[in-house]
Amino acid sequence: MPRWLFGRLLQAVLTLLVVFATVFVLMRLAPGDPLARLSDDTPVSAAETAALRARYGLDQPLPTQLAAFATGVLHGDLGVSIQFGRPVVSLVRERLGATLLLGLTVLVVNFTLGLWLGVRQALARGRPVDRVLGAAGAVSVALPSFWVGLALVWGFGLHAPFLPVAGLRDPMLDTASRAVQWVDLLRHLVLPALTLSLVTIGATMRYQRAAMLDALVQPFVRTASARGLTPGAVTHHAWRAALVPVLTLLGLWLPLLVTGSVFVEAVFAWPGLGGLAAQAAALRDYPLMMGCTMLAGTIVVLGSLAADIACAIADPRLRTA
Amino acid sequence: MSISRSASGRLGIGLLSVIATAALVLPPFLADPMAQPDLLGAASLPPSAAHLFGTDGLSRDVLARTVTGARWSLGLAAPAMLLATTVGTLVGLAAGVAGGTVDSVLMRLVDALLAIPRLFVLLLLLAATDQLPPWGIALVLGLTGWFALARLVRAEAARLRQAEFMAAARALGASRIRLALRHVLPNAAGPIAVAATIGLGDAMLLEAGLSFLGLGIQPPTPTWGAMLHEGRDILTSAPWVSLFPGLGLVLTVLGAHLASDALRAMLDPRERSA
Amino acid sequence: MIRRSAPLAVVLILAACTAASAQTAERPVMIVVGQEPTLPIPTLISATVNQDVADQLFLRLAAPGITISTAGDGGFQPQLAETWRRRDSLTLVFDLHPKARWHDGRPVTAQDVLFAFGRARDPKLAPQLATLLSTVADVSAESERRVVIRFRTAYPEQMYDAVFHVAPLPAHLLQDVPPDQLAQSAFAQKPVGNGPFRFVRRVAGEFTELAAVPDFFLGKVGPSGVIFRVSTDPEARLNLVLSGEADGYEATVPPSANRARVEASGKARTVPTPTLTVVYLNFNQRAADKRTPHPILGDVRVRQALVHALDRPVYAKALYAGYADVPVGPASQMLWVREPRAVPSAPFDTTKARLLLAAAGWRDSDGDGIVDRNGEPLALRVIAPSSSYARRQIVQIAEQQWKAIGVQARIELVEPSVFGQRRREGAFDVTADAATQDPSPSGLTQTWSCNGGSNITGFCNRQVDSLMQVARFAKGTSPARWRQVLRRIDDDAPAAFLAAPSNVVALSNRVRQPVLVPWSLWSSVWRWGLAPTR
Repeated sequence: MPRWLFGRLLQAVLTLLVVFATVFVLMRLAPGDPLARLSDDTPVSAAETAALRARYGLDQPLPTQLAAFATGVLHGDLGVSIQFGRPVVSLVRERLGATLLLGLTVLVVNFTLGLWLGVRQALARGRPVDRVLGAAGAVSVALPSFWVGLALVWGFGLHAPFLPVAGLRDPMLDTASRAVQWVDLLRHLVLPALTLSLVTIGATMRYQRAAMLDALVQPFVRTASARGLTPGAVTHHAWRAALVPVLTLLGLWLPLLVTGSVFVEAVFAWPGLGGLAAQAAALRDYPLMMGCTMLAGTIVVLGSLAADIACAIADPRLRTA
Repeated sequence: MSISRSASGRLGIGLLSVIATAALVLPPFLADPMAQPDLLGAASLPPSAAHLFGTDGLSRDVLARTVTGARWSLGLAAPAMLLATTVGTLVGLAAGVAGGTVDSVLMRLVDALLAIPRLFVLLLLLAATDQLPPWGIALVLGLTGWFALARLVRAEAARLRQAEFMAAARALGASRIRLALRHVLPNAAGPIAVAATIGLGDAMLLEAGLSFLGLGIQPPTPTWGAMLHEGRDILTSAPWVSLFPGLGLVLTVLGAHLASDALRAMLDPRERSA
Repeated sequence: MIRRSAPLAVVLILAACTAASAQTAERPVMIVVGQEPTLPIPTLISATVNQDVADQLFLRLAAPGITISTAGDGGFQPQLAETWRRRDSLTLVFDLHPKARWHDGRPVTAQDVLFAFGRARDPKLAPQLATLLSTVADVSAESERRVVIRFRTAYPEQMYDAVFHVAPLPAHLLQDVPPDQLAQSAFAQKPVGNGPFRFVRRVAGEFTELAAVPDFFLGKVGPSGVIFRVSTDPEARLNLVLSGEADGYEATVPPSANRARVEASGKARTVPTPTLTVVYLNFNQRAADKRTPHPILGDVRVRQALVHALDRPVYAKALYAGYADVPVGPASQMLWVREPRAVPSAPFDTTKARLLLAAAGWRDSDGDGIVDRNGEPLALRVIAPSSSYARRQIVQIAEQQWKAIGVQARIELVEPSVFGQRRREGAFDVTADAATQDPSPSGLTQTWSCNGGSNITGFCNRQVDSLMQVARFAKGTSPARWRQVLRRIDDDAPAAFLAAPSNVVALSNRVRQPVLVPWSLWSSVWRWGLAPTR
């Protein structure tokens, strides 16, 4: 394995360990007793509480708990949620689909429409198109996702009820045909994805515009232009050069995939990981919160690693250990 | 190009100043944001001459609450931003000027902290400590917002460490701290200022988001996020309760971003000539 | 082209119409609820939504009448018991319906009744039920379908206590399940009942589906099924009603504006029904150590002052669109002993409130607008669950009204489970409670007697205790004694009793003239007639 790759992997693993330890410490330092917050639906006796405490290992000293959790993680076991009484892994897996669906949709919108608009802006630099898109982009970055979500709920809920404003799908349709179910899912996806896209596209546009501008002043572009390549081809070459910073952006967008934007999920009752994490935090469900945060951290680290490696493959100058 | 840049910068600074001034100066001239004058007759009224932004479900004047909300939102975000800027700068300077193991360890830590989504950490901290007072919320916002700035400052410091004048200064016996403060800091001031203004916007959005989830400041205090949280239940019957605080947020954050853009344009020679 | 495809188009359209109408005629009844019914098993129920679902699955021996007058033997409708009679002043005999069956086909027998009573009367397994059934001396089976229930003393509510609290459970399925494992058992995930609907499945977080039982022994089941649709967002729930998808929704108000929206939608209508709910601000009379009296609220004058300071009719009108009364003491609209037009003890009077505070030693000595005593301001911690819109508004209104007499209230909205924890721990000064009462006034002892299991504030008035004992066991069905109890509680101001609300129930227009049983709104769904919608 090349030295630079090994170095990157090692860094990633170290980072993961630190993430893990930090989250663990944060959770355990929190005052209060998670078991005291069990739902009122099933009244719990003192004996049962003691049994639960032993089951979740809450009566052990901190290092023991840490070691137990670490062993569990290596076996793919993230513990059992105190609130739901089910393994964290299965809870997270249930929600992962919805999160990925929303996140990937928004990613695709950003990396197609966002990039295209950014290139358009760069090519039309200084002209009205650039100004208008620039202004729109600036506003986009300033928009609070929950406010946009509420506005869309108000608009569509009230005036155009053909788009559902809550949930992932209509549970009544689960005996209907696959096609109907897919259409239903897509209909439910529109508003949350629109919300998240509106608040993120500005950043992508701006980033791509800057990267494209940088590329356009590169010597090779002027050379190509001088050698008689069509403007379209020149643009294409410049865009290839602008791709590297954009790959870095991909690494930054990955947290979005995981957190799925907690706020958008709250507004649209989208059953993703973000909402699960919010619930877990409020109820101090240690294992569940740990699981969600670990997953988030891991995806971010892996994403940056992937982006790093991709950039290094693309540009040999970046291959330092 | 530079004209339009500074025009948007002026707009940004203008927005921020107007909102900050309104927040400071207007409240004595407006209605009491907490008063519920007429629960039966004046609840959920649309905007009118008497109530420019309408009234909410408890007949409270939305304009007064929005302006007071500006006070709260800025009042929480500004200290948070200052704290984050201070801590980030100090850590970045320490790492960058020290170099070696200290640098590596600190930056590994920062990278790991950056990997954990900030919102998750905030959720954790807010939920763990029931009923945090406002200064506590500003504290946790600040303590979770310095990571990227630390990296930035460290990069700047590391870059300068190689510079010739630094070697010369060290040869003359200047201490590390003096180097950091006298030489690195002024050079890093630009990026710090840019990051700080963006940090202000981020802190405001986060605080509003947390209040929207019901985790931040308690009612009846009218922070913008809390107003959005309350307005949600009457969204269809009284949308103005949610409209104005959101608008306030957008304009303030927009102002912060435009101002930071202008700052960046002023400081970065490449941008200026582009 | 057109001519060739016209017949095909007609056929397709007809097919679609038939399919659609067949579908809508067969479409199950959809009830929207805000909480998920995770445990609709008799003897384990605490949340109301679980009771709603349990009432579809599990029948009782007999059901009280609509007005639920709990005293006396009359007014009850046969359910699992076909007939019953009184053997003597202490004994009731029930004969089970020969055709009553569990959903797995086995007949309902006396053993099932005994089994359920055995679980319910065990204080370790079901502490609250055991207290309610403490007057039952013995439950025995005289034959396969005859159950004899003997009481310790003679009192008017024997019939109510015998049939209302315990629904029989299938002994043949649960005998081998240890009691403390019932909640986690397979049965709890897929209950087997004997009611007009059987359990089909529960999709976590989304809905619970029940299907009609084809040869239900009490009559034909109208709808093809019932779906309890869960939606935690109130606007989303209302939208389901406004779009016509949902057939029933229990509480459209608050916010008050919702009622008009439903009426204007053309797809649904509203029907007000009385409820067993009473909403009040409960004053903690114990200090943090749970032994000494509360430094501020232990004084009855302060409590009365706090009640005088609240303009209570405003809460009813502002939050419940007028569909609420101001009660005397903890009396919901359906508590049959309440006095309909009684005047509460502490009417709105801020002057009186200030005088009472001054008499208790609280004056504004430093001019900051908050009254104080010995340098300590009168500050109260008010907690409410963040999930309840009504209580969020209530505490904000109360905060302002108390500010007017110099009392500082600090509001803390907390997650529902944290709210429960704080209440149990006594970590509050005032709590915003919305209690669902037992239809029988004897349920008042749970909260308002000195040793009541649900008494979280330390309210203890010996006179009230003895009055409750007398009222519980007095002969006859007159409400007079219980009214005395309510009045005495009201006088002592252990809480500010704000409202006894109605449910403004939203029903879709396809539901024809339903009978709504107020104490269990959806228990009559099996008898509903549905109009086919286009």
